[in-house]
Amino acid sequence: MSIDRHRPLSIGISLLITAVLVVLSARSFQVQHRDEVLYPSDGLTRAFPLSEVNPHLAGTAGDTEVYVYEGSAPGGSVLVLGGTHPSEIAGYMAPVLMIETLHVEAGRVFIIPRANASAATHNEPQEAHPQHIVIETAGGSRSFRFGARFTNPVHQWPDPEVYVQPISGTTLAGVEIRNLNRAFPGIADGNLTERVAWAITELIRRESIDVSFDIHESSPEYPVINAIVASEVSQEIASFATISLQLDGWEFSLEPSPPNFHGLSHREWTDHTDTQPILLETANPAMGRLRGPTNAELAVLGQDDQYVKAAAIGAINVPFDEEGISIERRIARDLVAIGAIVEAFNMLNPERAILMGGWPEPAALMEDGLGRYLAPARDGTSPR
Amino acid sequence: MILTLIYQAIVLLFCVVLVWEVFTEKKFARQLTAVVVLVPMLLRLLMIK
Repeated sequence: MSIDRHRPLSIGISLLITAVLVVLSARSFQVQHRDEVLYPSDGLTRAFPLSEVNPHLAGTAGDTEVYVYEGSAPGGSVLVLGGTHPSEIAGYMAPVLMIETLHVEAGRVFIIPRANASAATHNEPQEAHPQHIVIETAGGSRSFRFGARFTNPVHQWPDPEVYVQPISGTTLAGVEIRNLNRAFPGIADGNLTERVAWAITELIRRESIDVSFDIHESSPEYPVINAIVASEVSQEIASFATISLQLDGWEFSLEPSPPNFHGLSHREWTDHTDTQPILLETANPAMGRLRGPTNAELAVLGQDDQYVKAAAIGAINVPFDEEGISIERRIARDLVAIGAIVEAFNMLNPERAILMGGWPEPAALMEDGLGRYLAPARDGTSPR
Repeated sequence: MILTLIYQAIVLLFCVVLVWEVFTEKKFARQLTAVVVLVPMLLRLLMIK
């Protein structure tokens, strides 16, 4: 082989195309590595990186911010975890809305909006998911990343053929080694996902958290949907809350935490801490297998003709009409459930009551839109 | 860490071969084919995607 000296133009064009494509695509991918700016309410008392709990996270893509709101009166404590799976966008946006509106009168509230921060830096191959959703606020548009279910393989690789869950010996598909909600209770110096899981579990132990929430979303055809998942130690507060919610017209099912399915937040927090764990699930058509065109609008508005047809023939597990299930409705469900469960905890533990609020009423949120209650963008629009 | 370095070395080798292909291939269409393969390889080499 020898270089043909008569074709410098085509070589130059080819290398130029390479450079342009690499720069454009690299820029697009790297934007997703930038954390969105959040604007905590003035009720925030302190914030610290999760690496303070597990130093093995320092300097890694798994380190993430913990926001703490402390009331002036003593009381119990709550942890709200969002972004365990950053593709479940309402599970991220509900804690974000809390961070920007929350006030605590008694007790302490810990919020981790980006539990798997690495998973927020990429999105799922072949899912056609958007990189961001955009919410219009009074001060301009704010964009929030639509991440992936799994830790970014740039930060943790390779996956084994079979993932053997280290605590239980449960065998799962290899990719599940990067699933935070299969990694609990975690290992302090394990792989990146296990380090994050250990840090969260240790935070619960160290701060003696009374009630811990892990917020998720799933496809409308998934059987555990519009659900409150509770383990044997949180069944009592979850039962009171479910009845209260149903009396108020909110349809929630109460699901038990499977005792032999290890690695899940609610299972392992039950077995390895003294907290009362709760997992919340809302229905997001952007995650379903039956969905039509996939874009940010679908993730925000939650409207999809295919799911209307699927609901008409009884193929899904939630009501679904032309109005869809908007992100406001999904966030409202999460917040109303958190409120009801904390209220049930307070009723059963009045000496450790947690008094908190500040976020919008569900009807107002759904009527006015999420952007009305998020802080206005103060430094122009978020990067996209 | 060692595994990552070995992986990057393999990807670098592929990148070199593909660039060589761009320089030696006579048909422009085939040069472009090499470019299409080279782009994801470079993104992997730089640990961007």
